[in-house]
Amino acid sequence: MNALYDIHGLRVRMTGLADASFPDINAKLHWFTVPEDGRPVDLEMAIGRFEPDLGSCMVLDRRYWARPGYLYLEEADKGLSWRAEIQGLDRVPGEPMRICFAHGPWNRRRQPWLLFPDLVAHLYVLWPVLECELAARGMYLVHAGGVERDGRATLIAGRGGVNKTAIVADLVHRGWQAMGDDFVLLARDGQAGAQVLAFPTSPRWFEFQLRHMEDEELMFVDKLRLLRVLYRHRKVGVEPRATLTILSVNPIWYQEGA
Amino acid sequence: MHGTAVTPIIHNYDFHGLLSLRIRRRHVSWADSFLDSTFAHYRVEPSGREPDIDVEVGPFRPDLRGALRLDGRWYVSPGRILYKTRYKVARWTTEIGGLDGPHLKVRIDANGPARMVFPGETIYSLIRLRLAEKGLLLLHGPAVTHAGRALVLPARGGTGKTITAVNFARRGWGFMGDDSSILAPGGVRSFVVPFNLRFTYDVARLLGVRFSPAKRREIFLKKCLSIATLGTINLFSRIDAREVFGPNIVDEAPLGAVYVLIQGPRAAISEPQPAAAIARSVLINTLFEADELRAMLLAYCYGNPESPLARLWDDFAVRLAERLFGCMLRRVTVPARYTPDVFEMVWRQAEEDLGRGARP
Repeated sequence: MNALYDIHGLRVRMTGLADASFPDINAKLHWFTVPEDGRPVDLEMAIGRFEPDLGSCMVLDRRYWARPGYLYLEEADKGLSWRAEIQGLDRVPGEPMRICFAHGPWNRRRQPWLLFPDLVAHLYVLWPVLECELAARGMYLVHAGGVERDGRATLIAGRGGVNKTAIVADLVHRGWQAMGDDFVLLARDGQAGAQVLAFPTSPRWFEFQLRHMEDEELMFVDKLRLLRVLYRHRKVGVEPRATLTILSVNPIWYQEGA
Repeated sequence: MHGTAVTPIIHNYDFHGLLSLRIRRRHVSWADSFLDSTFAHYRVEPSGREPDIDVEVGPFRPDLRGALRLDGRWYVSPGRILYKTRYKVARWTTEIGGLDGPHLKVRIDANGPARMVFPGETIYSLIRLRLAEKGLLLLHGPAVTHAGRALVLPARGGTGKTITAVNFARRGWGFMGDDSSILAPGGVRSFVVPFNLRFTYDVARLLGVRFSPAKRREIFLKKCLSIATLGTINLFSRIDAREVFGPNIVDEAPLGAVYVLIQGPRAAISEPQPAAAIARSVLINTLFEADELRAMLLAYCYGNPESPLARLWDDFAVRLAERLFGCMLRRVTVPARYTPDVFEMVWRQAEEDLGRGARP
């Protein structure tokens, strides 16, 4: 399965995504999906077998192979394993950055990952690269929830488990507009200081939270309910960019969460 | 709890008069010999002064009142942090107090396997932290001396640090430690800890020594265990560096050269490099190694962003670049197979670099 994303101007193409039952949950950037138009992209990620070219590479810890502009890595964590190669790290204008990613033999079959067969590729490889690429374009990925009202954004920053999502959901219930429950982008606007850009990573999950839950603790009944909701909306799915709108607002009012 | 409760055993250590460490423990078990041997080279009689780092090993009841909880793992309050660490079957809880003052008060509650792990993790982190606050940099790389000046060899584990340092020492160079060295304002200070060797090497031949029959038997048994379990159980063998290189140990020398060792396709030595580039390599190498300290500081400074500890690595980088200035700085590429001619190449270059500088 292929997908093309446009993240506020950064174009990312992914190929070889698993045929997941819920593609919008599997692919964290699903909300940014745009129709394929054949134009060049800034970042390409191919999931599938590949052969690395390790000639003239320096070796670190027998896990990383590096030479100028190139990095190959082999990692394992919690019974999952993967290898990936990143080309074009020293940016050449006009040349896209290329990532090849290969799952270990068991990744896509393991229990917790049934809903997210490509989570490893997103979390451990795409995400850090994306963060660098966005930063190179003046957009900084901030680990915070964001809401908007009357043209002003409020960020709710905090470590995982401090109920960022629940706070954002509460504010949405009271008439605020959500911009993302886990991440937002901070960008500079030439004229008027900082701007906050929406970066919703899992809208369907957020919707479930919004409709069915009061806090973030996922009890067994909630899990059953989640499966039921997912099953019921199996055919419908979340339309890209349907539930949230991109907001560019300024100035920001920054507030630190608990 | 292992062993029996007895009167506490207290050991005092002093690192070149720059840093003092006291370790008290309330239990006796074979696993503690690990802790005792780690810093044995720096053991001193008690001085009566309050040590920079005061460590108490044994079970304790943590006081979490008023502490921020981060990620379910870190408990942070002003000047204090408590966290749990796991490494395979080793589990230990560390509480560090006095982070905003001159004396660290540390309590460590470790299970049996953890007593072999935390000296190299938590105690190293504390030493690295306290030294860095005093402007002294604990670098991850051995140091050797020739013609009165030191050569530091920072490298990632597995590149060939130990072999290189040992080979230098066997050719009569001064030996300042095979794992780390301290970069102080006046030069390099030794950091001699026991060798941790795995059985990919023939240990005795590598070190050029004959072990006692008991030690030989121990090494043989560990080797059998490693082969029988197909390498799953691969115990380290600790060998006291002072027994092997006793007369060669040098405790202090001005810095003459830094060679950053990197594993690469073929052996090569670079032209002299600018201080900024080598300082960055050395800093990254140290950060790679200081996992626990890095995470601990992130957690502490998240809760206490005003603390000077938030700038620790920035200051570290600045001091490092200052101290490398004017030295011979090179990058050495070492192939995966470390052959005698690789060392020969490094040795010739080092002899030239340090010898040349020594002439008036």
